[in-house]
Amino acid sequence: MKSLITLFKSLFYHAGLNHENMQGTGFFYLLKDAAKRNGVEIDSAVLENQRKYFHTHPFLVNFILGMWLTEYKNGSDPETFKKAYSSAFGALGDSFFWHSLRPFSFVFAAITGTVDPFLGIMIYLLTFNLFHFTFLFTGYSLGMELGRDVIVWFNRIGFNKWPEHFDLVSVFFLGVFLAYIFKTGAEISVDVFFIAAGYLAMGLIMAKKLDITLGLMINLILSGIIFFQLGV
Amino acid sequence: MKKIIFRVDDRLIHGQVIEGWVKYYKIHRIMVVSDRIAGDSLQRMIFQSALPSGCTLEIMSVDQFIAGFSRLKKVKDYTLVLMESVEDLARCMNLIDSDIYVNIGCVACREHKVEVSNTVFLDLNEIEQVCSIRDMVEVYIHKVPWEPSVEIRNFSKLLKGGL
Repeated sequence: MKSLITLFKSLFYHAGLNHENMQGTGFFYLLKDAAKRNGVEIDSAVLENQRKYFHTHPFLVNFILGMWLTEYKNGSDPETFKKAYSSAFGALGDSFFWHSLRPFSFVFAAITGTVDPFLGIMIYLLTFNLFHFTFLFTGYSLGMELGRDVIVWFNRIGFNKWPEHFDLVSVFFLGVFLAYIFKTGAEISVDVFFIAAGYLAMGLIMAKKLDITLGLMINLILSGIIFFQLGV
Repeated sequence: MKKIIFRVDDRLIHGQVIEGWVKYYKIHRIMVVSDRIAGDSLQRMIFQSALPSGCTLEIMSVDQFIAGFSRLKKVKDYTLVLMESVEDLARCMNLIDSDIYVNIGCVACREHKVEVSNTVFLDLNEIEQVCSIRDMVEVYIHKVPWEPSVEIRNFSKLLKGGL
């Protein structure tokens, strides 16, 4: 039950994000609440200190929360590990949730979306939030149980390699999906193929050498000129 | 981009570093230069576990880094050197030359610090240290590679009473 309440409350953790203390306000809110529910008395100065700068991945914050409480109860210094974990979980969480799980969920949503758009949206939400909520739910109890050694659990499941595996699956199914779309939905001639490939190459070069937004703008302007000339 | 990147970032290894710098420039070698972390095996393991496969991480104290820097200059691949504070960067000042890209990524807001950008907050001492490095090479505030970098130029105004 405690994990469920923490999960629910941690959904509001990110709401206090600002440039000054980043997610410090959110962590203070979660810690104060979790300590009260666990009957842990935290020194008021130590608790107040939690409002200071803190930044981690919002889906992995409960691991740090549980770890902090355990280390505090054991009389050790949770702040050192809080800082190290905040950075490491920022890296792990960004790589997996933002850069791998999101495209992974999108690919399956796009595939099912061709059958029924509503189903596509549901698939996206289900796939993404399955991992999102699982990590928020288990994070608190694992953090409490393992304390400062919570990284061992991440090493055991090889979490830093998950993005690589998920990317492989995403790319494979994206290829299948694009091949299916081209086969069933478009008349592909050699001209169309080279124009599309040229656009892609130009976009990638400009995004890499100049800037993503500028590249997109130049591509759009060029497209407008070409379409205007063609009388589209 | 220059092959050796010195980055001041008090979060050291985090999302912007891995998804931004490491993947964008295909960096396989990261060095964390911090006296605080070099002596703590658990913290070393935590940072090691955050790396994607194919990346090597070396964690060392500032003195160890200074002592072994000549070895690094011979390496031809990209190397990202992460430092925790402007003070650590200033300690490495004698190593800095035009072959090194000096970049301040994130320095958290603390008491008596001035907001230089939305991720960089510096106090008077740090501003003076950055200015003295700025006399030798260009120093940039650069969060992630695909965003424009801001060259630090006008800190002297701050030093003359703007604080």
